[in-house]
Amino acid sequence: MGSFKIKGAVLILSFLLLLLFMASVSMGRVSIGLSDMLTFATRFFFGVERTQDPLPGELVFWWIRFPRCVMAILVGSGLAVSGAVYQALFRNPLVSPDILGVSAGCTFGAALGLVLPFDSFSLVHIMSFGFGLLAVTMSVGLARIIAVKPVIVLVLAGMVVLSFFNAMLMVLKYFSDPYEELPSIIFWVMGSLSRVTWENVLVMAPFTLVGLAIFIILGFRLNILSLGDIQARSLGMNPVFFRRLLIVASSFMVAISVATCGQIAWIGLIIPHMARAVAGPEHEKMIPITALLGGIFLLAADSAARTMSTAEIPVGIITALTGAPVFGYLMIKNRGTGWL
Amino acid sequence: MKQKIKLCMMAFCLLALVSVSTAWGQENINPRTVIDLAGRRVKIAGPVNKIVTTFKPATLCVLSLGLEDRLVGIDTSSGRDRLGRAVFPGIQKVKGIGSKSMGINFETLVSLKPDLVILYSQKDGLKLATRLEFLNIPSIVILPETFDTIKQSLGLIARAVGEADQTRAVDQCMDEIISLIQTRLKGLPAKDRKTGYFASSRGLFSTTTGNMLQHEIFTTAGIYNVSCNLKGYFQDISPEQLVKWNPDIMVLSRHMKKAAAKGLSNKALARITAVVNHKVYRCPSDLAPWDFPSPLSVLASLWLARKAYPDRFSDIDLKDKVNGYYKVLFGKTMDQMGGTLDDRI
Repeated sequence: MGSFKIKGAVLILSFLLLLLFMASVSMGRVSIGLSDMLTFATRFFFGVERTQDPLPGELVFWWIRFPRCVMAILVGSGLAVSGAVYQALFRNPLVSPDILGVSAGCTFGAALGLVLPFDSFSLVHIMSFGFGLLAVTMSVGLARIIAVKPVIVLVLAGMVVLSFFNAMLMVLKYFSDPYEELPSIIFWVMGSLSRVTWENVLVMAPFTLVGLAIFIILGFRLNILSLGDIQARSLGMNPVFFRRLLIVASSFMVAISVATCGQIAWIGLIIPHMARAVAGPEHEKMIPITALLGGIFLLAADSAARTMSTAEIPVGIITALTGAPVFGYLMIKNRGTGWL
Repeated sequence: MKQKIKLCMMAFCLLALVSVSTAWGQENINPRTVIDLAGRRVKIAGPVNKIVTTFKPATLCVLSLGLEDRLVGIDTSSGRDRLGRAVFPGIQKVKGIGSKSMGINFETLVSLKPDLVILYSQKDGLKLATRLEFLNIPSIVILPETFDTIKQSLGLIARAVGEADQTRAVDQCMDEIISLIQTRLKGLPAKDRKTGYFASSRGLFSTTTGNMLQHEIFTTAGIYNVSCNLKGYFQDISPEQLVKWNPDIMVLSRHMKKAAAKGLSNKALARITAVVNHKVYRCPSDLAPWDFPSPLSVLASLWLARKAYPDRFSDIDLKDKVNGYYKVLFGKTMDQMGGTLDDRI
């Protein structure tokens, strides 16, 4: 795809994301119309809020809905781009943070952080990241030890690690108090954006944006890495260094998402494929498209999750219900093309 | 001759006394049939000296009925329960057989050769009942989800054990508390009725539905439960739904982790009436949570009604009432067991 077409696609998707964001911040249990939003914006930008008490709808808009929608975009983009990077690094279209066991490792780490006595938000993040990184190291290490048909073996190694961390999570659940600790673990594992605050956004945003910038800048190197280490070396690149850098960066993005919102599946697997259908396989072009599509997908899913009924539907249900058929469709559509 | 007649009469009286007392004592060894809360007819042939409970509310019911010395197996978490240990220190040595949430170890349960197993109705409870029936082990299903079904569950356990009278004192205590609240709230104008929100142990935005015990705690306390239209088990809501409901009073589950309550510092929640008026509480008590299915849950209604309508309960000494209640149920007051009524978040 030519760069003009890519720029066009980025512009269209950005416009779509903006439209969806506007629609999303206006939808919810508390009705907020366009005129209300204009009033809130005027009060905010012209400093009226210093002299008058904010309206209840205004508080909902600025302190609940706005950060939540921003977080949906950040998490959706982060997970989708991590998936794309994983697929490039491991030269495997079936790889995603979910399949390599990273999400399961992160979830176990977050759950462990929840039951430890220190009761700290940063501890949950650190544990989540540590175990996410451990999971990906275990998957890659196991695949390297076996070293036969690397594409399939990596997926199988990922399944082993995934099962291991799921089992560890079960052990943790089994030994946790069923009335005090277990409910919070279950709530965490289900995945939800309902507990998002500006503090979470401020923690999440720099890492996601820096991560995205790194992946866009290193997009060309990702192309080379996806050709294999021999080609990368022959082109004067240090594949080990860049692979490690990219694995750490993408794992960190997944970990920080899981630690903030719980496990949200399917985004890291299907969105990169959708982006490739739009932008082609070159990473410097498809990464921005992946980020935009990921943001749009999770923002739409979360908007549906919080507005469809009085009770909130876990967003993971919506991403799985939409992601699984889309992936099935892509598999059928691309059969015989060497896609898998 | 007179002496012989006297002797005969004395012997007859003695015999009559012995037979009456034997019959009295044999109440619990007479075969009996009970209908449990799942509608199952359960035949219990002999005495019940070995009881196994499979979930914490069942253990609390057994403790309330003073049958703790018959426990041979309990759900694993009950062994760590502060109230259980205070009432019956030996509970720590009673064998744990698993839990409702993570599964019951059936072999351990059977190995205890229980005379009665008390089961839950959810999850695999009914399947366990069928498997136990096949092994000729009597089991009853209880469903302590409302004040009424708590009383029914207590009555069922007492009848199954053959100690039907055992439940009378507990029933009376529960009725007295409910009656006290109803009397004090009589004539409360609809416009003065407070609204309330309950946050479960899962987090600040997980709430009770209209068919759960916590709903009844609110309604008995004269408070309109804002989430009463939800159905099923605990439901998650969005924070803005909570803002929209704008409850006058908020109760956080005793089991909720303190970190989860930090969500209350969100500025958008600062305008909720309950937050503005500092009417956000953690349900007592630190000894055994009252927002939990057990005979203690009526005390949550009294505590809550007192918080919502202080003028109507100004002369009520809650600690005194609670101590009296615990004394009847467990033979010790709350003070004696080291419990407090701390309700700070």
